[in-house]
Amino acid sequence: MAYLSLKDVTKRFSDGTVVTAVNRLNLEVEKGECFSFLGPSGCGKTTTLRMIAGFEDLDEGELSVDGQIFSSSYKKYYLPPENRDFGMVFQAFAVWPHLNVYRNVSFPLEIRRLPKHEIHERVSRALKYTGLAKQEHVFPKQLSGGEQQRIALARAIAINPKVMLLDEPLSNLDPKLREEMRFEIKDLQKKFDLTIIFVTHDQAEAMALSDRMLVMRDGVVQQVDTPLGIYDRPANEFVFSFIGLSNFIPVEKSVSGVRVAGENQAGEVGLRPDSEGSAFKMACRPSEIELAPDGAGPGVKAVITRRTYLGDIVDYLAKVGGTEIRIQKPRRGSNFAAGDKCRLVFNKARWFPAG
Amino acid sequence: MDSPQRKFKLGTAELLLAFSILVLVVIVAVPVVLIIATAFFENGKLNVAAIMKVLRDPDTYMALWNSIVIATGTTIVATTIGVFFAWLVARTDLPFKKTMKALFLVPFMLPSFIGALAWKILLSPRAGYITKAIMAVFGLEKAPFDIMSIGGIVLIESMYLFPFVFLQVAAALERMDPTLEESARISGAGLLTITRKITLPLVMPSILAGALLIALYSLAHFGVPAILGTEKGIYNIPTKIYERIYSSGGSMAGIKVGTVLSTILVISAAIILKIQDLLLKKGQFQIIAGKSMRPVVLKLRGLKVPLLIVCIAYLTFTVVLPTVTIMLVGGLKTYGLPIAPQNLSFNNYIDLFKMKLTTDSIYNSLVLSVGAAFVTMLAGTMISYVIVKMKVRGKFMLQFLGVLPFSLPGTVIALGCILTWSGRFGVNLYNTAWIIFVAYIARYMAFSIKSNSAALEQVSDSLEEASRACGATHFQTLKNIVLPLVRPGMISAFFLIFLPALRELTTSVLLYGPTTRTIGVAIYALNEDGETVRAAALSTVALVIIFTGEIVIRKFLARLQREDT
Amino acid sequence: MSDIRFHSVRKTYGSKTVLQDLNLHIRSGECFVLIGPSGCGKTVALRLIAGFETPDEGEITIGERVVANAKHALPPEERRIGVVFQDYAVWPHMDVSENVAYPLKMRKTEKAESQRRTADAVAQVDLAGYERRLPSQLSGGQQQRVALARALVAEPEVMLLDEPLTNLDANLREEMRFEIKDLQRKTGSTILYVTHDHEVALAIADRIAVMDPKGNLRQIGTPEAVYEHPADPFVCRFLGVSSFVEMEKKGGRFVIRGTDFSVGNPPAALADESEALAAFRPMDMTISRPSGAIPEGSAEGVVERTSLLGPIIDFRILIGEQKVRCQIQTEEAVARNVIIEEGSRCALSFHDAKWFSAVADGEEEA
Repeated sequence: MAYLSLKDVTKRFSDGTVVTAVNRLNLEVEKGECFSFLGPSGCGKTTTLRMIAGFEDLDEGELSVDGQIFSSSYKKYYLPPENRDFGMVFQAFAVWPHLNVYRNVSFPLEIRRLPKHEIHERVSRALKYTGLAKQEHVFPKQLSGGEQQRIALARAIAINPKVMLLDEPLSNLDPKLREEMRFEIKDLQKKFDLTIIFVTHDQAEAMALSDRMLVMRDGVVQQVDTPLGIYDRPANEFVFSFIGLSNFIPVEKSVSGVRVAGENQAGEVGLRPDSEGSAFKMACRPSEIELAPDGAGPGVKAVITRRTYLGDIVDYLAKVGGTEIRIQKPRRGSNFAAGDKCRLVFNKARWFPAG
Repeated sequence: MDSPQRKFKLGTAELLLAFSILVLVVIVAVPVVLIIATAFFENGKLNVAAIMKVLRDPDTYMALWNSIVIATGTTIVATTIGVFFAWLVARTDLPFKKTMKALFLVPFMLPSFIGALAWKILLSPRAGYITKAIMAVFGLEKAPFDIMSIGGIVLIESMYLFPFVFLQVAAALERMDPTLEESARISGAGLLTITRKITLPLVMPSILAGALLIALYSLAHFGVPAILGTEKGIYNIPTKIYERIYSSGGSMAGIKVGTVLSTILVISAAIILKIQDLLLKKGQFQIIAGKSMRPVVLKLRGLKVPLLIVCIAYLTFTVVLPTVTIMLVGGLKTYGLPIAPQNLSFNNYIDLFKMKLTTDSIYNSLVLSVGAAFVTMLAGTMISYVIVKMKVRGKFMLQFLGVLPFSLPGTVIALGCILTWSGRFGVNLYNTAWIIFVAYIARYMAFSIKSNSAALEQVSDSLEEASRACGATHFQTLKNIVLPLVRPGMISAFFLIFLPALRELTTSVLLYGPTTRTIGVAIYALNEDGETVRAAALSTVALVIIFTGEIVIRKFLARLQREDT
Repeated sequence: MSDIRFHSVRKTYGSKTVLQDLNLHIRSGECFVLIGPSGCGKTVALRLIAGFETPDEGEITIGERVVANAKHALPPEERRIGVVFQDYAVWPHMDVSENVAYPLKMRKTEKAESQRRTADAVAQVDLAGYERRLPSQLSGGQQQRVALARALVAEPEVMLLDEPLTNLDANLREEMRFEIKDLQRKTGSTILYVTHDHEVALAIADRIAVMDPKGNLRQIGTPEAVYEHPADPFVCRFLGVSSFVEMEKKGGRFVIRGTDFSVGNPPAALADESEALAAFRPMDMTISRPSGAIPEGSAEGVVERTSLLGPIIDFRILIGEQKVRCQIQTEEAVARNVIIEEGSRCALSFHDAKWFSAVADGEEEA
């Protein structure tokens, strides 16, 4: 059975007009899973997280955790946040500036009236695993952003939460630190066997951290899958273009397969669409397309119009007649220059309706 | 080949710096120095004996003691009221919150000495209307309480000063990062625990900042103690200074005593400001939220209506009652008559406008406040620019002089102006409107600098540099880029000065001459002469002018804001 | 068009010397990127050319003109440059066309011509139709384009760009990179672009100069030259992900410390050393899944972390006691079935190596 489950959860806001921020969301998260919500700003991911936390209540649907119902519109039940036993980490850290590190972490334990020695034990353990053991008596404003975020993590871990909720926890940190903290969170998850739900707009972060993730748009879930599944087998155009770089090439059916629309001279694309129809959008990632030198052989004839050196990767813009296609190849073994003629070989693509 | 220009020239920057220094020295530094000099030196020699004489005078002690007691009492009472209402407005589901918030600022608009006048009329132990009514109802021989006492002064000052704390705390509560409280909630804390352990400690710096402002203001305040205390011989330092100078007929001896007392006042003010500075530095927490989200709100449930009634009652009591009283008493044919339609007439008001005193004082106040506001606005803009934007040596001197007037009570500035501008340097402005004009500029310069500095800090350096890179000289940059962007700060500086100057009493009461009374002075003088009805009538006129002014300005500012966005 | 030269320029703030003895020649018409960590002095160098700062010693020339030396300095308004700032510095009280036309107004350009050139500049940055909008009605990317147009409109000899893309989100940054490069090619102006972001630097530069935290230039060259043949470990680390492996002499050859695996061809200069450092870019190694024994020519490693970063899969691998980082395009990883689980063995073969002396300078980036 799922550890955390959302059934048909809906949330509306009215600010003049009624906006459906979350539309019949269904989700099941397993115990010990690291699950992320990804989407553009305003898509509803933060609202969903806040409903799980209890800061917003759902208008319709049901939320249950470990078999217990936390909120239900059918049974007219709502458990306030202070009783949900979650740990939460916020984007702006939300550590209390007037309390030192120790008191910040012990606060939730004091509220729960745990015996003193147990509080001390738990706080010490949490601080040890977040690298703050030596900073017990320091105040937040004397610490860096990364360290403050660790206080928030320690505070959330110390209560042995049912679920950890992370709301864009790394957005306010600089890129190098973000990478480091990603691994730390992953380690903490393993060590404490945590179930984690986190919200982010950073695709690399979502893909690097999650066991499974969902992509959301305008309140509607687009796909739930493993990161590789989302990247490689996107459910629709939006998911494909939201994650990573993408080419959408207009193609039309030819006698033996498919050609780039309007470019009969250029040659065949060696793939077949998996559905009926005469015109499609062929979706390919720049790193999926092979570049071959001009001459005989399979592939679509093209001209390189732009070459950008990016270090390990070289980025090319190629034109097939009027259609622009982007290709990225490792630097090793790709020596085309702007103006060169070449062949584009397609090994993999996804097919979407044209228009 | 082009040759680069010389590095040092008399450019725009240098002129601005020189002019700023000149203004601040003449307007602020010289008066202060003269006060210290007059207090401590006699004929060029340090004279401690004279100082000790003043300090040993029991009257001085009494005045200092009263000042401290009143200030402490006012601070405690006003802070409590302020925090209570701030919390109600910012953190509960009190109905009509927006209206309440605006209404709670109305006591600010009422000059407190007019309020004192009204309450004297209502509660004075012998002739007060309410006092007499209570005595009649309960069959008492003597008044159950005396408004003309320290307690009365504390009460009245608190009534009209609490908005200082209210504004600060309400703003802090509203702008506080909600995730600070949300993280407490998710940690398991209920709303009362959150308020106690998280919210209150985090707004404490704002509470203290407001409280200290009240203490500072009360220490330096003339109007309320003058109206409620002087008759009974209760003096604080500003009223004592006034008394000494006038009882000695403006002689040097009296002024000297005044300077010694002023020094005590300035030292007390400096101590308070220092404490505030230390407290703020230590406790300053970054709690402002970036995005605006709704903060945690307490549901009042059954208490909603009772608390709303409390708020309305408070406002009625402190705003409506005194205003109505003043209006009605102003129309009485003779003071002391019961307030009934047959005793009221419009004639008083008509006669008032026939009096030269009235028309003169209104004219004087308007001209002085508009003029001073305008000049101070411009000077403040220039000085702020030098302080905030220019990299020059000696800036700290400007900063110091610019902030100094904050710790100088109006009385002290008035005294300093008397010393500076009574012919000592060849310019005699005493008894003219100009001396009041100069005093206002000194008094309000700090506000102008503060407001303009805040606006200038929003104008990032790169905006000016971009203009220079586009081929504009420094002067062109100031004209095309800086001035338009700082306009909101300038305008708010203007109004920050115009309205207080229009209704003030503390400064002009020491500087007025026979033809240069301000509205405040005119009302005060009428009260001193026992012309309570006339004083009330003129107060009503003043209130009308002030309220109209406030509303017109608020609308104007709102329209400007909408244009600018 | 003009070139820019720094002759022995020194700049101090109080007791801190930011630039000690800067000598630099930026050729006319080239897109030159000055890259370095925050606080290294690169922005100071830009501000010296612009005229917002003046040198304490040395001389700065633009073309034939000496614009600044220790005694005299031309004020910014007389240097005929265009500047684009990190925070765009678009004036909020003026609309797009007033912003863009400002330099022409300051040069007292005649009205008709000013209108024509403003319209041209606005069109060049794809903002035609937005002339009457105020900056507050524009997005970050659009404001940046206004700043670009304004810098271009007076056809300056030199354009200075101070980290103009830092405040934009990743997708927009990429787009704008290409736009800036295109504009530069069209106008042929000399560009100095200052940044700490190596991705941008590699993508747009004709030549790159790498500055260290002390304000010294470590290497100047084309992006390929600097990326593939870094002069020292600092440059190597700063321009991108790199793994540094300690090598020791065993039996006459350099092997990875703690193993018997030898790598590539060390240069003759290190022949007599007993230790060395070999640096690799993440795609200088190929990872494979061993079935049984490790194939000849590959080292054995243990995968510590596998991260899917979208189009790239990133591996952190332990060889002996040293860590290296290997990356591979996701499509290839899927095709060759090399998404190796954390904790499993792997085989790594190495291609190029960049060799450095083991006592390489300790000049770490901040």
